Amino acid sequence: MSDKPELTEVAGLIARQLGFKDPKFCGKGSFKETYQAEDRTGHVVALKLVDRTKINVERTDREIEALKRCNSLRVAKVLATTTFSAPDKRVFDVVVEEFFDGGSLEDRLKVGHLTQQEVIELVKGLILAVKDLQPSLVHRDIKPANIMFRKNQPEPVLVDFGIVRDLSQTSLTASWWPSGPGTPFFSSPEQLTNDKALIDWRSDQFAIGVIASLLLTGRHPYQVDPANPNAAVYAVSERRGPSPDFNAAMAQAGLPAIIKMVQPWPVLRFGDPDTLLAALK
Amino acid sequence: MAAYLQMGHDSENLVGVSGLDGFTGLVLSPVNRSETELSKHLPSFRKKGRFGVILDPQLYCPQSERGQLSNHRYFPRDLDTADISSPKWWQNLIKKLVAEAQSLKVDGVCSPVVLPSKYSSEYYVSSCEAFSMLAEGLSVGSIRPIQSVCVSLKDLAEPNDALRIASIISSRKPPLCYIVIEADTPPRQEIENASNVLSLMVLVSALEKSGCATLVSHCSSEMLLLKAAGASSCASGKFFNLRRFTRSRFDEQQDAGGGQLPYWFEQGLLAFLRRADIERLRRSGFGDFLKVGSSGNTFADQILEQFVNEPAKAWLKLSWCQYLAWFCLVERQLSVPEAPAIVSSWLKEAEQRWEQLDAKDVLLEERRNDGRWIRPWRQALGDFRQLGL
Repeated sequence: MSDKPELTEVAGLIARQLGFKDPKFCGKGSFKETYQAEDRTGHVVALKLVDRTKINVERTDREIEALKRCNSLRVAKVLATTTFSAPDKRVFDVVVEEFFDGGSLEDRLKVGHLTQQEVIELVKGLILAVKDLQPSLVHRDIKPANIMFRKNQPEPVLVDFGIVRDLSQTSLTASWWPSGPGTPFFSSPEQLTNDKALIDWRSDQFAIGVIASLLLTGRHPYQVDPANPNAAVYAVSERRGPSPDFNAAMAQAGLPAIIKMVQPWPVLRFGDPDTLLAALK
Repeated sequence: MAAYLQMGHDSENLVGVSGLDGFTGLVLSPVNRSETELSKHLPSFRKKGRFGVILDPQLYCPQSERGQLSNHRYFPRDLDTADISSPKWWQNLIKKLVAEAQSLKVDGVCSPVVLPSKYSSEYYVSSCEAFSMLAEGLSVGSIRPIQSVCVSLKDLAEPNDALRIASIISSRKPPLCYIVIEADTPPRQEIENASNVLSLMVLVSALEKSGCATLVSHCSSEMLLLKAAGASSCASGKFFNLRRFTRSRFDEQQDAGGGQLPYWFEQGLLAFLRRADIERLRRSGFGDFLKVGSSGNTFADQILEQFVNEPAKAWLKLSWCQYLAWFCLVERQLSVPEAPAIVSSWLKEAEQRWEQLDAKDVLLEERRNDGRWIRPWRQALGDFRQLGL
């Protein structure tokens, strides 16, 4: 999220209306911009501005609803929500969230590598976060940019529930789409092929397994050709299974649980978060 | 782990028979017996042994011959006209099914399912929803909800087909799955397609390893392979599934079981033998191919004795018992981690025996009864072991 901001003026107006000072641009996604702002007591929050003309409104509503239902320290907390009509008639959804001053996992990786033990602790934290989404929510876009930290704290926090799937409700993705939403590099086979009947928390487990593989080996678990990481995405969609090199590396590291997390079919992964956590001990 | 006796037409007299004590579970058949009849039979079954009793609502083919189904309180009167995609319709049915199960005091109930025109992912998702409704209905009390999993054998063309189904079913973590295999295998014939058998084994194994125990219904001699795949339990009826679980099976109730011929099940050949076959084997110097393993049970001795002392006497009931005794003894014997190796050696030995018979031109009565299914079974088991699931 490093593109130039386009909504600085709107952010200023919103901040003034909500009683916040000096919004500072943090980052930009496809449909939204994020600013950090301070309230009168000096408490810092994140202001997320979503342009309603660019997104399926129902998705934003679902994200907000999902986050409100999750009372977990491992999931971004929604402090307030509102809508704002800009002078140019555009309407924005405004989500006020906890601000994470420890940065993202993506930021941390730019600074240096994590040890094996740190990776295991991170994976455990993410599994606990996914467990807190149970029984019906599936994040579907777990990746380093969506994993945040509080200052000086190692526990990860999941953010960006824009494509969260509530299994108790009808899917918003048409079944004829060739692929479902999510970031392909971290997506499970069932997401890549839009196989909606197969999507549940085990899809998030797959994404966490891919992150673990990246952190431990520097590669996607399905990557065979060192020069072509994108071929791994195709291999996932073909359900080819993790590469022999990855399997050997995880076996040698004493981490067979990570191999199980990235199996091509959900039934071959861990059936529940507690069993997975126990296997990581 | 238990062998289940699949109740059918006039099966009550087989419950608790000495020598069939290995059956520790019963699957009731509402197509054959009304609710009133079942409620009368159950207390007498309980007196004969400690059975785990399962009610399978058998709504598989509700448009065809219904037998006694309409004499059960859960049977929907509006079946022909109702919108069966409506959750409310299923809730109503399941509410009545729960009430009947509680009234009968059974130990487990299978979730109601209808055989679809196409076994799609959506079909399995709706099967899971029916199971969830049943589990909710049975949340108070001790009756166990069981997830019914109907699969079409011909649709299980490769292991991935099985893994897709198992992935959907395991999402709700049912503690026990009741697997019903719809097959168009003709009467008296074994499943011969290695890919189908392998996929079936993968389905069982994947479910078991994900924490969903399996009870495979309507088994015949392929039970060996299902146990090798790790099936917790298998069920068989007295007709050794001569009539397999086909869509037409519910149309066959009028003729008291389809005019049965007596057969001897021989583990040494993994085949069903006619009386003439038994005599031919003995005459040809292959008498040691008979009574191999659990085929040599107490009923086998009674059959051979009767052939000598009362040759004209019917041996149909003894034939059922000889097969059922073999079934429950082997079901127990194979409830061990070494089952794949044990079954592998049985198959190898059986194939060698068939080769010896062929070499001496010892041909059995029925044209296709020549052991041709053993090779695909060996292939399926070999491939299954290589998959290392």
